[in-house]
Amino acid sequence: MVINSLSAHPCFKTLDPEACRVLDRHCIWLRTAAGQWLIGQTANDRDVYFVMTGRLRAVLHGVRQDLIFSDMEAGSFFGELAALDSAPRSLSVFAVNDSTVAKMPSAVFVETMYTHRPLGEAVVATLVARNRDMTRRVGELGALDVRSRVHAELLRLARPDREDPRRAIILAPPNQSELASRINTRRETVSREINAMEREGLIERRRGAIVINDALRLSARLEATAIGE
Amino acid sequence: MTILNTLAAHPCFKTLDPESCRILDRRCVWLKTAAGSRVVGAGSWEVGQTASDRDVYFVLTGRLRAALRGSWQDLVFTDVEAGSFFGELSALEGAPHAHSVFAVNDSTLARMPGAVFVETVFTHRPLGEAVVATLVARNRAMTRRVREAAHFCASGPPSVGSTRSRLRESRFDAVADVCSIGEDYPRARRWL
Repeated sequence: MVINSLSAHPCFKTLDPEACRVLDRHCIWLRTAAGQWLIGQTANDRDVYFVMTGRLRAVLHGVRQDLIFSDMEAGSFFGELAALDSAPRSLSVFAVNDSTVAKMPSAVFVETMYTHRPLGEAVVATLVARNRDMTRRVGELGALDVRSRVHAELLRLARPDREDPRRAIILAPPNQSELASRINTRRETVSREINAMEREGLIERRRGAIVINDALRLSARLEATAIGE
Repeated sequence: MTILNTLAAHPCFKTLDPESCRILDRRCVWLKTAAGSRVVGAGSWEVGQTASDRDVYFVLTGRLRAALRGSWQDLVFTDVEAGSFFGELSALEGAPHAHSVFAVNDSTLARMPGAVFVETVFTHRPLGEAVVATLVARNRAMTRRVREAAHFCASGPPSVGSTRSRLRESRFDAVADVCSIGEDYPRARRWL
């Protein structure tokens, strides 16, 4: 199915069809193949991108390696900071999977944000959530050693196991290089820590999943490290 | 001295029509806080760090200071002056206040319930714009701090010069510069 209307995006679901058609005409529709860069750090454009299908990833280029910030899936948007404060981009974005995005000019975005409340609410919620996520990251990078950062990231990716409340499962876990980029370390270090955790019986590796055998114990250990015990 | 008890004097509400402003005024609790009382340094604690209220505070006069209360000393985040507001994150995400705030000078504040604030953000554009601008500035500052923190872990010393030169950019940049040099650096080194 060809998606070329914003009405398929959660932020515009309740917008009346005529206003939505006007917005659609303001947008440029882009199809990006997996691996293709969409915006570059320090770029000067101010457009906002609405993700219609696929998945994209925001990264910060580092000297040694890139730091993964977040993944953006269908139904989300990015680029709103540059549209709102007119400063250059702070992150780069590339497509993880084949994706469809609607590129909206910043002036149209800002005006719509204040006239169509669901979009305004989504923008405020996104800004608040990103702020919280980054505050957590700064805290972790500053105060936790690599081992604890691996533990924290695994706990964050895991979902509780319905059958056993102590256990948590990471389905389709990221590979070790990706995990290393998320927590700003090397792949070899992640590999060493994961192997150590496996030897200790903290985790179990299965086909297409990682099982955390005792999530409560792991998070208690993490908390103890964080407060310096 | 004129007694301020209307939000019309606050930049976020200057263009709000008088009737709507009066309705909002009645929803607020008006606080006068004196400088120079107890706790660490001068000032009286206004909003507790663990306070469970979700109210937003509009500063009409005076100056307040946001700090994180530590076990052996407090970490000063930023000063909040007349015309600003604080507590908006708690109202928007429903989480407890992250910092404590105390009055540096005698101050007048309007305490608005979180629900009223959220509703007004989306119905009165100047307030919405101020809140969004605050959130955007914080996001920018935090992105920069993540970059710096990542740099710590990767290759040692942080960019002290850049951090120092930014300290006076705006109150929001300063917010993100919590414990910038003295605190982060030794801690980061310890883990390296």
